[in-house]
Parts: sequence; C-alpha cells; structure tokens
Amino acid sequence: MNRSPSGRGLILIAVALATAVLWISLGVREGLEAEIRALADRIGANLFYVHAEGDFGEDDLARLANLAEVAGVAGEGTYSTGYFPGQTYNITRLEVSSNYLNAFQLPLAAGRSFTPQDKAVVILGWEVKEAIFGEANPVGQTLDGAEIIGVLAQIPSDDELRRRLNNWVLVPAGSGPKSFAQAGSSERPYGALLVRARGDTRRAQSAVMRALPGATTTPISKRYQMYFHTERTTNRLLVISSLVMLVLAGTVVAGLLSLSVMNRSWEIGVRRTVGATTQDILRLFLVEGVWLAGAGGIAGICLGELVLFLAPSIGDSASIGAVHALVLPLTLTVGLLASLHPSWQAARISPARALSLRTLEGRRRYGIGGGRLIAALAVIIASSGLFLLINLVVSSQQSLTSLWGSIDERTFLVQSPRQSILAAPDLSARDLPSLQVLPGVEAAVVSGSRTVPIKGTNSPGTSVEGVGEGWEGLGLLNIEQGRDLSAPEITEGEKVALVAKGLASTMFKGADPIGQRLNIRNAPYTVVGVFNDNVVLGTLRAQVIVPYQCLEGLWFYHCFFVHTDSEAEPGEVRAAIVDLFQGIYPDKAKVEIVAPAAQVAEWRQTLTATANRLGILVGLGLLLGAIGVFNLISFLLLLRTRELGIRRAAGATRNRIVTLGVVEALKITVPAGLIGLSLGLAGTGPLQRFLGQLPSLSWNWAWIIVATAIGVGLLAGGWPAWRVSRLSPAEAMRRGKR
Amino acid sequence: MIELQNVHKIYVKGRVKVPALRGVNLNVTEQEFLVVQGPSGSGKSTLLNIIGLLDEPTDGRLRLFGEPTQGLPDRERSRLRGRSIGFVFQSFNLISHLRAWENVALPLYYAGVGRAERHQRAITALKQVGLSERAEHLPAELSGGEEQRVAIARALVIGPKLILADEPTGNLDSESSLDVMKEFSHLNKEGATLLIATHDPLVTSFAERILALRDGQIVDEVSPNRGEPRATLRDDVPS
Repeated sequence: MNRSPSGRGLILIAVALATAVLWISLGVREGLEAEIRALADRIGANLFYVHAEGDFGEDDLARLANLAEVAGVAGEGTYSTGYFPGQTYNITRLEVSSNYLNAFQLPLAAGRSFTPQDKAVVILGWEVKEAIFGEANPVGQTLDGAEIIGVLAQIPSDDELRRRLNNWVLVPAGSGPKSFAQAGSSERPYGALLVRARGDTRRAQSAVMRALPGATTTPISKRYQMYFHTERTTNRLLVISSLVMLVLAGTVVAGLLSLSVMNRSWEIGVRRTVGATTQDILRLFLVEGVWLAGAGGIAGICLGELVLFLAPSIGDSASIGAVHALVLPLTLTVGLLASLHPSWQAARISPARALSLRTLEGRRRYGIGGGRLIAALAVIIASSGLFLLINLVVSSQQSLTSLWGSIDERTFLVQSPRQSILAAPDLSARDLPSLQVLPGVEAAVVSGSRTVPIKGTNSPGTSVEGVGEGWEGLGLLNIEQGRDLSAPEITEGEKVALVAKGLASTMFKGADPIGQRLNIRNAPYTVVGVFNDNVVLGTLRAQVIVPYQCLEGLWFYHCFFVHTDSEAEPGEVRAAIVDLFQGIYPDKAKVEIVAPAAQVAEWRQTLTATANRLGILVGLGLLLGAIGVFNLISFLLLLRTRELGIRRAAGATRNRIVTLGVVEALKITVPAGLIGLSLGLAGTGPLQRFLGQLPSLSWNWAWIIVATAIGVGLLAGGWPAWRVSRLSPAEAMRRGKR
Repeated sequence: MIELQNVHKIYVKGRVKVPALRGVNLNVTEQEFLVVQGPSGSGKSTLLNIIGLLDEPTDGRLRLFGEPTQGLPDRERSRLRGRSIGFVFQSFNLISHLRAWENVALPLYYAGVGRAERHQRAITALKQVGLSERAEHLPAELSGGEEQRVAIARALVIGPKLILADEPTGNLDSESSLDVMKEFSHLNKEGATLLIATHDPLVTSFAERILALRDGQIVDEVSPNRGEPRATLRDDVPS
C-alpha cells in the first residue's frame, strides 16, 4: 500500500503551530490582565465605585455604611483645575470625604489624614509638595488660606488610576470651586462613592444598587482596565486572530484527514471485510484525529513556552493563567470537529467500494473532497493578513521617517510645559541669546506660533508657525514637494510659506500648491514647499510655516529648536537648558524638552512589537496554506503517478513533471492570493479606524501578495512534483499500478 | 449454506447502468469446494462480494447460513463477516503498517477479543500456515507467497464456516500457489466451505464443483468428481 502523503507529521505541525500562537497570545493577554489585577489588589479588589445621575450627599454615605454587605464608604467629589487669583500655582484639587485616604489606601508621607471636623485644610500630592516646597516639610504652612495638614506619599507611575493624585491636592468635601478655605458650601458634594465590600463584592454591589436605585457600580479592576483599553483591545484582537488560526488549522487538518481517508480507503475496505462496523471505522478516524490534535496541542504548548522563554520581546510580560488550561481541551475539540467529516466519509464507504478504490484511478474518481477549497481558504486569510501587515509596517515606517528630516538625539525642542503645578514660563525671543551661548549648544532657533484665520481652509483658525534664523540649517522637516525656507527668506522676513499636505489639498484642490498664494493677516504669502501633516512644532500641530519676522510681535507661544555640538553630551546640555530657564523664570515651572528622535524610537519599538506578533500570525497562515497545498498536490501527483511514468516513458523531461505540479498549485494559490488581497483592501478601513493615526494604505505593496502566492505555489507544488520527478519511469508506472 | 435466488447487481456510472450480475441462482452446500471461473468482467468478484456481504444485490435474495440477509443492519452484516466468513484476495490485502500477527488478529479485534488472546490465536493461525517465525514482520518484509499465507491465516483465525477467495494464486509463483491450495484443501477437509474465483487451472483441480460465469450469468457447471457438465444449465443461456 502507498503511504499517505497527508502524513501525520503535517497534521502535528499545523496543530502545534496554531496552538503555540494561541498559547503565546493568551500569555501576552494574561500578563496584562495580571498586571491590572495586581494594581487593583494594591487598593483591594473588593473596592468599587458607585455613580448615579445626580451627586451624592452625606446621607447617601450613611445609608450605604449601614448595609451589612458594606465595610466602608468614602466620597469623591468634583475636581477643579486652574490658576487662582494672585497665585502662581496651577493646581487641581479634589474634594473628598474625611475617610477617603483610608478607603483609597493612600499612605501619607507626612502629617495626618482628614477628620470629619476639618474645614479649610488641605493635603498635598507628592509632586505638588516637591514643586512648591521642595525638600521642606510643608505641614503646618498654608496654601491659599488653607492649612496644610498632610502630604501624600508618592504614588508609583504605573498606578494609572491614582498617580494623578501626585499632582493634585485633596480638600474636605464642600470646599467649593473658588478657594480651599471656603468649605462646606455644597450639600451634595460627591460625584462618586467608593465602597469597600464586606464579604462577597457582587453581593455588596447588588445591595448598594438596591439601596440607591438608579446607581451603577464599577469594580476597581474595571476602572484600571479602562486605562489599558488600547493594549487590551490589541490583545483581544491577537487572541481572536489566534483562535481563527486554530480554526484554520482545524480546517487544514480536516482536509489532510479527508485526503488520508481517500488514500486509506483500501485499508478501510480490508477492515470492513474482516468485520469492522461503520462505528468501528468512525471511531478509528475520530480517535486518530483527536490523538493527533492532542499530540500537536502538547507540542504547541511546549513550543509556545519555549518562544516566550527565548524571545521575550514577543511577550515580555506574558504569564500563564487559568485560561491556559482551556488550550488543550480546545485543541482536542478542534481535532474532534476536524475529524468528524473525514471519519464520516470513511465510515460510509461500502466495503466493496472501498476495496475497489485500491485502484488509484478509482480513488481519483471518488474525488478529492474539500482539500482544494481548504488550502485556498488558508492562503486567502494569510494573504489578506499579509497585505494588512505590510501596509501597517511600511506606511507607519514611512510616516515616522517623513515626519521629521535629519533628526538625532542631538536635536530637541525646548518649550513651556503643557501641564504644570507652577505657572508655565512665558518663553520669548528675548531668551534666545542666552540659549545660543550655552556651552554645548551648536545652534538654537526661535519659533513662535499662533492661530490665524486663513481663507480657503475649512476651519476658522489655522495654526501658523514662525521660524527664525538658523532653521534652514537644522533640516528638521522632510519636504515632500518644493523646498524648505531659505536663509535669506528667513532673515529678510520674505512672505513665503511651507504648507502641510492636508491643508494644501484642501486649499488648492489638487492643483500644484507650489507658487500658489495664501493670505495671512491680509498679506499674501507664496507657497514654496509642502510638508507632512503630522509634524508638531512647539505646542501646536503646525499647518503653515513662515519666517519668524513676518509676524514678529504677534506670536502667542514660543519654543526653541536646539542642536548640540558633537562634542557635548546631550543629556548634560538638556539639564543645562532646564537650569538656564529656571534662572530666567525662577518662580515658574521647568521647561519641557522634547526629543523627536526618542519619540520616533519609542513609536518604532511599539510598531515592531505589534508587527512581530501580527507577523507570527500571518506566517502561520501562510504555512498552513502551504501545508494544505503541498498535501493536495502530493495527493494529486500520487493519483497520477502511473500517468507521469507513462509521460516520462514517452519523453517528458523531469522539468515538465515539476511544471505540472507547480501549475496545479498556482491554480489554487494565485486566485486565493488575489481574493486575499481584495479582502485586505476591504479591511484597511476598519484597521485605520482601529489604529487611528495610521496613514492611508496603498496598492503599492500588492505585488508582494501576488509574489507570495506564487512563491507558496512554487514551493508547495514544486517540491512534491520534484520528488515524483526523481522516480524512474518504470518505477512510477509500477507504483501507479498498485 | 448459501442460497442465491435471481440475484441481480447493476452498477450505475453516471448515466450508464452496467449490469454485473443478471439473475444468478446458486446453492452451495456445507463443506463444498466450489470454484467460479470466467473472463474479466464476468461478475466473479461481484458474486463473491455479495455472498461475503461486502455488497448488496440490486435485486434478488441471498440466504446465508440458512438466514435471509435482506435488510440486515450494518452491525449484523459486520458481525457475520467478522465471525463466520474468511476472505482471501489476489493482492493479499494486508495492512502495511501492521505486523504479520496484527494483520492476522484484525478480525479478532473487531470481534472484541482481548489483546493477549488475539496474539495467541494469531500465532496459532500463523503456525497453521507455517509462518509463526515471521509473526513480527511487516508485509513489506515478506515474499508474495508468505503474504498470501498470512492472508489465509487471517481468514482462518476466526474459524470461519465459509472462506471466499478472489484469485488467491493470481500473484503467486507455481510453488507458492500449490502451498496455498494445499492449505485451502486442508481447511476444506476441516469443515470450511470454500468458494474461489479464479482462472488458475491448479485451483480448479482441487474443486468439487466448477461454475462458469459470463456476462453476469452462470453459463456452465461441472462437477469433476461426479462426472459430466450439466447441459441443462447451458441450455438456459439466452441467445
């Protein structure tokens, strides 16, 4: 009997790889969920928030505190941010009940917590204390007329829910929006309540909702989950994709088993002849399918663990959770489902028919089942995934590289902080000379920005950026069309402008923007260049860039571009710049330094991690497709071994035989690749919506899909054909007769 | 033991109906050694398949071991095949990944016999055909004659009442063929009924009765040990 080309090895490989990918995806997901659970556990997972349409008063706190299912209740009021008249501090304060620190597990670094009798007192967040009082202990001093009674210990930066309190101050509920000192002005001061359950949290939640009809409850773990929404969505997508891959592997296994059944039909006949019932045959193939899936599943789990161990970049924080216990049963189920149809096929062949199918030609007439369809399905899914992956990687890389011109860690931006406790310094062009003479600074360029109305745009205000002398030497922008501003234009303040690509297409409606005019504050400017939309200069997303002098005295915000000399250590220069501005603006917040190179590197790292994970899924899809095609072609060639022997005897070369296999494979992979490409194109919209900032996807890389489909066809068809072509014509005819 | 009444078998290939058996009537008595002869396509294998419950007639009746087989459920047909009928084929039909004794033990497996007993009975059957020393070998490691003797051991391991053999010597040299026929003769003497489809004159020389099949009909019947061909049957052939 001929050994089956649809070998068990291929089934094991398909199931093992799909299981490994699922194991890894679940590991990555579980790692993040464990991290979130650990964060919630710091406060106590039995804590939950209560919200309602209106605000809560002390009576609500008392009602909940009396419930047997509740161990404690605290109130969290509204928060307000702003500069107070006559103050230099930009502070967010939160009104809370007296037991808030205890409920929210907030330790104190100094002083004491609130008492119910406290009025006109304040507890400072750690960063607030650092910014205003430095190393000194502020307890006993006053802030805006309120006595400082305590300082919160610093909350770790990974604690997304509570870390904002580092930059906030806490005041007793009812302190009112105007001043810390005006306490007790509101009767219903709490926007949310924090409830600690006694015993079962769900029971406590139900009891609270019964006590406060219309109220909703949110466990603390859910609140933490909201901070990891993007990561959790990505992980969910990975797990779903992995499950799809497992199902795909299941269909490939079903195809392999179907072909195996056909190849073993004669064996089925023999077994039936010696007394096997239809149930016996059904059981034989079901057990075989489930056994193979189980073995593949175990191998996949080991492989998944190995990958997580050897390549931490794929799942740096991966961990094993209870959900992993479902992987093997799931794999076995997939194996069972995959074997159902082939086993049924095997069981329903009549013994005489099965024996007659010993003739290979007879088996061919019996058909090849859905093997062709399943192989094509795998190639379709892999091709569409590959197209999306390539577009994601390439367009994101293009976006990152086109965002900035020649940037390195020696170029950075100095600007006022967007958020600060102390008032932000009002930087101006007057600061430039001090910056330019700072040791280690090779070049410093001033930039001003403001929003002005420009005719022809869709918005009432357009962000205009003015750049000073030295800009042309920085080469910060990638100019997509035209040229950058020249030194004389900047020095002389000529009315020339660079325009963002999106704005140019809106204003000039597809016409060449170079040489076009636009009006800024009643003066005409000539467009000399077009740059990428996403460049952020200073605090604004720049849409038009002009020489600084053009609107001198009219700029609202200033920042500086700094380029350090090659001898200087960039870190030291950055520290010196911060010190310089601390000296110029002693009572203001520290300046913020943004390094585009570091930002780009961070984005690249995120992109690489996502691409790696998606790449594994796509690679698996391609491999499954290739296995399906390989097996199908092997089977088709097996059926035609005798015919091939006759062809060889009649003068066909080996290459002709190889070509035959390749053509059969290409008939599956190329149409499947094209369908996958179309699906990929259809999927770009949802992907863009999901990823937000992703630039427009293009057809440019479609050729890779076609090339991949051809490559899979060449390999998966060429290899088995090459093996058959090695047989001598006599051997091929002899084998074909069996 | 075997009674066929007006048995027809028609294969449908696409739109074409191909009659394989056309109104076959046959009675086979217990411990008879019957040979069916005929050219390729005459319906020999179809006849054996129907008698062996591997296939069902399109029309007509078959009684086996005194019982009607019409409408018998799959489980019963399988049980009868597995416990009462032994099959031997021209191409041996051994499962390539099973060892010789495992091939022999296959009917016992489906009859629900435990592994130890299966092994013991398979070795006994192999001893009967003189192949006990080859029990652990795979079919690929055996000669054609040895493979056929393993197939015979598989047929006799269940102690069948009926042995059906389709061209059992077709792939064997003359020496191996003689060995196999001696084995069949021995089994017949032990009490088994034998029905063999063949072209081989050696096989017919062992037969008690010879049927000639052509175009799905029995056209001749000879009983060498009893005398002359039965002319009446020949006269029944439609022109």
